[in-house]
Formats: sequence, structure tokens, C-alpha cells
Amino acid sequence: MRLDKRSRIVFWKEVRDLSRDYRTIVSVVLLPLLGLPGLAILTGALLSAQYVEVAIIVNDTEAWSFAGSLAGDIALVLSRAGLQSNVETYGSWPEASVDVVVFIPEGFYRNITRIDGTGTIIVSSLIGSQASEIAVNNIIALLNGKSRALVVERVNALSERAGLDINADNLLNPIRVQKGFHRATGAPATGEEASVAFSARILEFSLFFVVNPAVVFMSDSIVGERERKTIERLLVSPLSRRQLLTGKMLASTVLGLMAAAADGMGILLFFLLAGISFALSTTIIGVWLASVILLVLSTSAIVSIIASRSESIRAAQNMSFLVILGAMAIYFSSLMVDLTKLPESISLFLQMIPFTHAALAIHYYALGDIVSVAKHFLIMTIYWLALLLIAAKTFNTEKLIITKS
Amino acid sequence: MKIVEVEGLVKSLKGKPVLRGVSMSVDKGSIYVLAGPNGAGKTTTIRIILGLIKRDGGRVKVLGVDPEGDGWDKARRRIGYLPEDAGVYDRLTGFENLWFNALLFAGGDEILAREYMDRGIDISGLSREQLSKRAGSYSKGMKRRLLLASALMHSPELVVMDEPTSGLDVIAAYRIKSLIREMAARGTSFLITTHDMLEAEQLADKVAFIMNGATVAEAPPRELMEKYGSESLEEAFVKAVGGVEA
Repeated sequence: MRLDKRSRIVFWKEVRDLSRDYRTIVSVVLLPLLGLPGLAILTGALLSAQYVEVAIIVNDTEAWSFAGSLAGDIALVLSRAGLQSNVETYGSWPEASVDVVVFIPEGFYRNITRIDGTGTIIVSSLIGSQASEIAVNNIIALLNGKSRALVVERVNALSERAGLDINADNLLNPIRVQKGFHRATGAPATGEEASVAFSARILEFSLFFVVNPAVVFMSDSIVGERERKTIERLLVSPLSRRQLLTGKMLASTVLGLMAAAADGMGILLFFLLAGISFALSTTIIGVWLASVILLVLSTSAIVSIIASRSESIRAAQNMSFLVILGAMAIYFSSLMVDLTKLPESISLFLQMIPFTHAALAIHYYALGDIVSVAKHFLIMTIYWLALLLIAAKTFNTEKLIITKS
Repeated sequence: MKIVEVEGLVKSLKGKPVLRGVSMSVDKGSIYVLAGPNGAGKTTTIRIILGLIKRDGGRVKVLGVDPEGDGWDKARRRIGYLPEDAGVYDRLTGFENLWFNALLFAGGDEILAREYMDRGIDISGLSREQLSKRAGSYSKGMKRRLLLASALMHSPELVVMDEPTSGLDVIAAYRIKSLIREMAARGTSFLITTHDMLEAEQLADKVAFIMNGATVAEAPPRELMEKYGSESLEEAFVKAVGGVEA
């Protein structure tokens, strides 16, 4: 669609105005860019600052040596898990409150040293304590490792007695599982491609954050013109309603792109700091940016329809969020739900919502289905143009001017 | 030649009748003043004339076009509008406010826009230094001058002004009135609303008294004063609306 000159003039004015709205820029760009990684760093720092008190209660006189060695191993494992800890051994239940109790009952040592004996260890966590649960999970993993080492020792001892050459690892894992990937066409895919597909899910999720600034900007841009008493002159100028809305919507995409870039980078940094790596290519970022533009344009068109009937900026924002919130859930669920694997009835319903197509375009790109990417971009463009026409046709200047601000 | 023709204009807002039969006509190159107290229906009348709100009944033609019909988008290019208590774009400089308006009326033609811009700067009377500052830092008078320049920079055939001197100091108000007279002498038509009868008397070629949403009388100020045997337009207005409850 050719962008006419007057829409470009409105776009120029809006962008110039926006570029000096430092409060909006800070909240849209700097907050997510610094806030999300900051959140990851803070969470990591708080996690590693957690302190757990571990008590090993030994009720088996023969197990003191085992308990001493276990205490050292537990301290090491908890330290690797990022927890501060103090591990002590006791002959009876300690008087002080502890977060984790490792109880070694009588007969434990005798049982584990028999060729077919089973020794029981009770590992108990303090209820309501996340640090205790993390510690217990790590201690259980440590004990499973020790149990496996004992099995290997026993298999080796038995095979020696029987005069057989037995590989303990093979004996314990008669079936080995190797994980692979394939494309929709059935052709094998590399781990790198699988990584791109995972990254695509994060990008789909990031669309969730793009809608918010578009709603705020567009509400302010339309209702704000009335509140700042500039709307009447604008409506008596040679601008058509469509030109006015197109210019404002395009300016909204500038803010949307800024928000998308900041939120996207913030989310990526958040996950990277959490130890999750990504594989992003220039093309997938291009597909994502195109999705962002179409998403912001559609959002702006919906907000325009609502804003010209709203009494205040806040009312316009609230009503817009109410209408859009359900649709935004798609981006949230796209982290866990494969949108292409839903029953047809649900899928058709979701595809009636323009926002779904932005997520699907990214999803299909990750699957290597370029035709579907183009199809969903086209659908989104049609949705936007239809919404723009509705917004221009139903732009209620009377309500906009007469309503008390 | 009639620039604005209004007949039997009727309008209700939120179920309350606001206009009950406003009729008026503005001749080319004349200053037409719609005078009446606050709440008489002056602003609603000009908003209907400018196509901002729809009428419930009556007939309106502005520059030969019905504001609710085809051709209004083009006709708007020939109109300048200064609403009462209008705002400027605070984060844009004075220059940028004028440039935005100039580009809109020039349809993006930069050469024409520069011509409008030069005229706008001249009309505003603001210095280049003042125009380089953000409009948000301007006084009320400076903002009004900027808005006046925006309304007149493209040499419109019809200028509609809602209470143009409201809240301005004597010098600023005098300046605006002088400018209106100069432009009218050069053929620009003006439709002005005011509640200030002295201003109406000073400016108008023709005055319409509006009260409770209806035109009570319409004639040149001198004729109205003669008709009501009054020494001032203010007195004529009081006599004209006598018996009409506000």
C-alpha cells in the first residue's frame, strides 16, 4: 500500500513528539533492557545467598565413617548448586532447627556392605522452604550416584567370583536412548535447527510485551489529542480520518519496534543469564520484526476503534486491554503449547484472532515452512487493513470532541 | 457570494436540545460575528459548520459544500480554524508546530509549505529564538499567536474563530483584531464567535444574536442598534433577547 504524504506528515509529527517523551522511552526501552537481565542477576544472587543447615543423624555406629564422607560430599554438591550450607553429623536429633535432615538408621552400613542388601536413608526437608527442597533434590541425586557406584562394585565382585567379564555399565543400561531431531518433511534436523526452533518459542513469547506499549501509545495519541486540545484543529485540517490513523499507527510501530527490541533483548539476556542458550539467525529476527510490525499495526487499529469512543486515556487503555488480553494469552501459552498441534476447531477459533498469526508466522519459520510464514503475514496484513478501514469509518469525531475529558 | 449558508440548524446533545433553529449566512470577504452568552450554542454551531459534529436537522453549505457530504475533505483545505482554548504540541518547537501545519495544508509540497511557513512566522510575530523553543514553555499569549499563525498561514478563504481574543491581554487582542480586518479587506471571510458585544461591534460587518440555540436577530451592527433603538450592540442584544430566559 502506498503511504500518502499526509500520513507521512502525521508520522513525522508523532515520531518527533515521541522522541522527546523521555519518560515513555525510558519505561519502554530501558526498563526491560536493564530490568529483565537485572531480575535474572538478582534472582541468581539471592539464590546463591540462601543458607541451608543440614544435619546428618547417625543411628548406626558402623556408619560414622560413611557419614563423615557423605557430609563432605553434600557440602560440595550444595556449593555447586549455588547454595551456602553447613553440614554437621549428630548422634541424635539436634536441638537447633535444621533445614534438611539425613537420617541413617541402625543396620544401614551392614545392609549396604552385603552383596544383595539394601540400606535405607531418610532425607527430609523443612516444609515451606524452597532452599531445603533444592538441597534435598541435590542430596538425593548424590545418594543415587553413590547407590549406582555400589551396584557397579557389586557387579564387579560377582563377575570376578563367577569368572566372567561383565561390563557393569552395559548391565545397568541394557537399552540406550539417543535423542535426535527431524523436520516436518521427515528429513533429519541438526541440534542447531532444534535450538532455533526453541529460540522461536521465546520470540513468540516476547510478542506478549509488544502489545502493551502500542495500546498505551495509541490511546494517548488519540484521546490525548483531545485532552491536550489539539484534536479539533487536526480534524478540520485537510487530513482524512484514514490518513490521520495511518500516520499514528505507523508511529506506534516505531515505539512497538523499540519495545520489541528492548523486551526481546531483555528476555534473551534473562534466559542467557539463567543458563539457557539460543540460536538466532538474521532471518528469524527479520521474521520476528515483521510479526512485530503487523502486530502493532493491528493492535493500534483495534485501540483506535475503542479510543475514539472513550472518555479518557485511562478508559481507552482499560477497555483496550480488556479486549486484547484474551488474545495476548496466545503469546504466553506459545511457550508451552504447540499452536500447530491443536484440534481443528480450536485452531480455527484461534486463527480468527489476528494476534495468533504473528506467533504462527514465527513458529512456521522455525519449522522451515516459508509458504505458511507468507500466508500468515498476508492474513495479518488483511486483518490490519480491514481494522484500519473500520477504525476510519467508525471514527467518532462527535464523541471524541464532546465527551468530557 | 455566500461562503457559509445555514438554515434551521437543529441539534441535541445527550438528549438535550442545544440548537433549535440557527440560520445565518456569511458573505465573501466579510466579518460575520455570532454573538451570544456562554451556552447559547455558538461553539456547537461552528462545530457543525466545520463538519466536526453532525446536525439533526437543517441545511448547511460551506464554500458550496455540505460538511456531511462528498467533497468536504477537499473543502477543508480552504478553511482556517482557531478553536477556543486550543492547545499546541508542547514537545514540538514553535517552528515544528508551524511546519507540521504548513506541510498538512501544502499536502506535503515542501516549496509551498515553506511559503506558508514564512507567512506563519510573520503572522505569529514571534522571534526566531522564541520559535526555536518548545511550545510547552510558551505563555498563553504566545501559544495563541502560534495557533493564529497556524490557522491563517495558508491564506484560507474562510477563517472560523471561536472566541479568538478570549483570555488575551489588550495588546494581543488588538493585534488579532487588526489582522482580521486586514485579511478581510483582502477578501478573506471570517466567521467569529464571541460573547463580547463590544468586540462584535468593533469587528463585525454582520452580527447574529444567538440565544438558547436560536438566532434572534441578524444584521450589520449599526442596523441592529437602530432597530432596537440602542446606543451600543450590548444594549441591542439585551433588548433583542428581552423576554427570552437564559
